Amino acid sequence: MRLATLDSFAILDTPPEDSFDDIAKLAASILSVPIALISLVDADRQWFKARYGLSATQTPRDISFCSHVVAERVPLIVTDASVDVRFADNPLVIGDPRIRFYAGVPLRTENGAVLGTLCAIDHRAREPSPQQLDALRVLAGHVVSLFELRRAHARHERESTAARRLLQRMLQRNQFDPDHVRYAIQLAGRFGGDVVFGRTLDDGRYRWLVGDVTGHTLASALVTIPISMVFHAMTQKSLPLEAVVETMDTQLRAQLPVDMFFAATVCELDRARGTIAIANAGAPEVVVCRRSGAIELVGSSALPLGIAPAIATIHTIAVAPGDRIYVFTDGLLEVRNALGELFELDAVCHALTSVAPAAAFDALNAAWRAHATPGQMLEDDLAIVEVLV
Amino acid sequence: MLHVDARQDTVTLTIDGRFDHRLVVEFKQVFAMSPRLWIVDLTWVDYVDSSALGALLLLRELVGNDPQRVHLCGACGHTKAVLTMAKFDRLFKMCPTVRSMRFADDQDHDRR
Repeated sequence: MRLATLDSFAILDTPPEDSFDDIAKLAASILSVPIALISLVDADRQWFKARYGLSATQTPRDISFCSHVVAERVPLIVTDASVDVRFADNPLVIGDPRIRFYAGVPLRTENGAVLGTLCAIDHRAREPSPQQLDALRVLAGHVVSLFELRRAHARHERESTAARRLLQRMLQRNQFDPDHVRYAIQLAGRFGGDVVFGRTLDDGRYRWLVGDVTGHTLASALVTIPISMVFHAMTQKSLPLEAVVETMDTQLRAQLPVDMFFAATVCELDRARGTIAIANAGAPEVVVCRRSGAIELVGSSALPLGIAPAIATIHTIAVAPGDRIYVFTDGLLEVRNALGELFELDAVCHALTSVAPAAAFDALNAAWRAHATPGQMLEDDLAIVEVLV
Repeated sequence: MLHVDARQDTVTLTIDGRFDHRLVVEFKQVFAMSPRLWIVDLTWVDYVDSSALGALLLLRELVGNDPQRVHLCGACGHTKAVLTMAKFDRLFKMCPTVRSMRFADDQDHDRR
């Protein structure tokens, strides 16, 4: 059990780290000794995570002082090893590093396993004070805390990576026609609360969703799974846009806590009829760039999904080939420059219309990046989708 | 920064600067109070994020989702734009200023 616990910390044979070296150094200073070690006792050796004043990185277990501490599970104080029957003929006393004084306290984990010691060593016989021994005990506690923190962090990383991979796989159902659709998502944290879904209906209509879950933590990302399932399943069955939005809203209201919601825009382009239907629930304006250069905006007509029963109004407008539709999340409008000024809707429209249509998407991305404060994290996730009629 | 003013049956929460996830922690701590009326003064708020909107929703839930019992006052600029986009005027009573709201309330009081 002890070795299994030691193993779970994945600390053996790792490079030296400042935080541990500093503790060893402090221990040496407090006890006024030339050598202090953070020693981990493995099956047949003791290995030093931190070694202040000693060049050896490990010694065999059978001659180590620290293994006594591990076995007895209590501190070991040896004031003069040369006259102690247990250690007088020990190679580490007779030869290098000529141990005379040894004070080692157990590194005891939460589950009671003793991993090794924090120990102080001198070449001269010494009588440590109670305060010095106390300090050593306190520092040993800190060493274990550091081990535990490292282990928890490593576990968290592994879980995050696994979760992210799974989420990626679950969101593979999207259909984005590269000739007509371009999109960009910029995450502010490790997990995305912003999502983009797209699917072509059987009769050729194209439906897409751009949405923003409150927050950008793992919890927010998890919410996107049922949303994706509803969007794709219902669109695959050619169920109407209103029904998709209402189902999402109902599900989210049931699943989400009161303080979480989903701001979303769902659009459906019917090229055959020359129309686009837009349901904007709490999201920024949809920007429709006409072939003529004119701009139309379709703003939010309802609360974000997941708050209160409400049917988002579907706004239908006529479109023609050459028109371009831009849907984005509010993260785009929250990009700030060094003066704290926001990247406003005017700037978005300007970027989209001041270049040739084919260059507009890139121009918008370049514009917000140019506006952003260099080296500073984004406030919120950001997603932009361009669909060409 | 959050300033709490409790008098009679009304608690006024005045927020200065960013109303974001950090302030939300402090904001939630006043939920233990149970006035008849909550006034959230947003006059000095220069930024709200979705966690702030979430906190307002929690406050609303405390009063049984009664829009008359949570008033959002003084929102302007970016704050107003965010609240408008989220259609929060359908969930809360919106007032242009705290004073105008208080005055109307006093008038009601005198009439009774």
